[in-house]
Amino acid sequence: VVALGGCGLFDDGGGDGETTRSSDPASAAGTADLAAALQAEEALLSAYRTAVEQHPGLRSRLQAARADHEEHRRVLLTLLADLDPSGPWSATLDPAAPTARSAPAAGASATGSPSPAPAAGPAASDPEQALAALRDLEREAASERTEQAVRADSGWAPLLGVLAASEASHAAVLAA
Amino acid sequence: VSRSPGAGGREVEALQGLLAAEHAAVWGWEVAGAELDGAGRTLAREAVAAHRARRDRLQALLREGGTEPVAASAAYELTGQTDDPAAALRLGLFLEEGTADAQARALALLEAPALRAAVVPALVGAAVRAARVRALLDPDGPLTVPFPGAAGLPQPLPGPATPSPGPPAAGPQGPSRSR
Repeated sequence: VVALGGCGLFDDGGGDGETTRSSDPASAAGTADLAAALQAEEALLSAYRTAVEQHPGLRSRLQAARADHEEHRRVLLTLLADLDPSGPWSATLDPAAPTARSAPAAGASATGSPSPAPAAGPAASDPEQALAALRDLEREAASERTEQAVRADSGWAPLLGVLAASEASHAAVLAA
Repeated sequence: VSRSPGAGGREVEALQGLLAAEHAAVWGWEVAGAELDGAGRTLAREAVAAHRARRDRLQALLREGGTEPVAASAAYELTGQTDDPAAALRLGLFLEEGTADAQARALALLEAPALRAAVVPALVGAAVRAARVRALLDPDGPLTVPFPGAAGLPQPLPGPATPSPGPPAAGPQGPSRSR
């Protein structure tokens, strides 16, 4: 009897050291990949905040997805601060620094030039519209991260794929 | 596929690992589906179809590259019970979370965009099905995790991490297979 891990499921992946990436994640391309993902997370968080502020009854329903996005943001900022210590990322990791709502680093490019996160979009007049708008944003983000994971030349394809999966699962939950 | 998986041993390794996982997922969901009805049965049927399609796609990719695909195990054995709907759903969740981990692990080995394009949607599909299983198990609980497939990432995420729930170390849903 062989554990199902023998099928490739649930292996720890650390066995042979053959998981080195095709290219260096600590590259300009790597910083750009993660910065683009961070910008999308900031936009999603902004949209969730807006939805909850306008429709407080949605707070509990949206809580888990918001927490997931906050965790995405934290991880991306931590990785970016490690890749590019001279960039604006470290400041936004500081609890005393401006929050995600006002952080200027969200759209910074690999060269460190910031660009603002996209606006959350027009306010939805009723909760169902707000949920539909969030679902559409999640689907769009999932599609963007999927494309990034396929094309990434930075070694971050697995993480980008995982982010795509997370956004898609949010979209599915919001559509249910 | 514009690039043969036969071009690289790492890619063949990745695809064979995924194929073995898909064989196991097909079998596991068929077992789970027998214990389910209603929405659970529907989900199981969809999961079997999705994993079969993935299996067939991976077999085709490997054959295109001149590699014989790994076969399904002659028999699998569950180490726990799946004789009630909740246990069957937990098996389904175990399979989807494990499949997502396998997809993320494979992405670290695949360089060709055409091959990655075959894998990322499978990771997405596994995460979505896992959320649907959680909704059936506990509609009031969290239905998503922040990093589905995180256990397959080549490097741990920076802490304080929120790890993927992953499979239970031991318990009623730990399937194994017989050769």
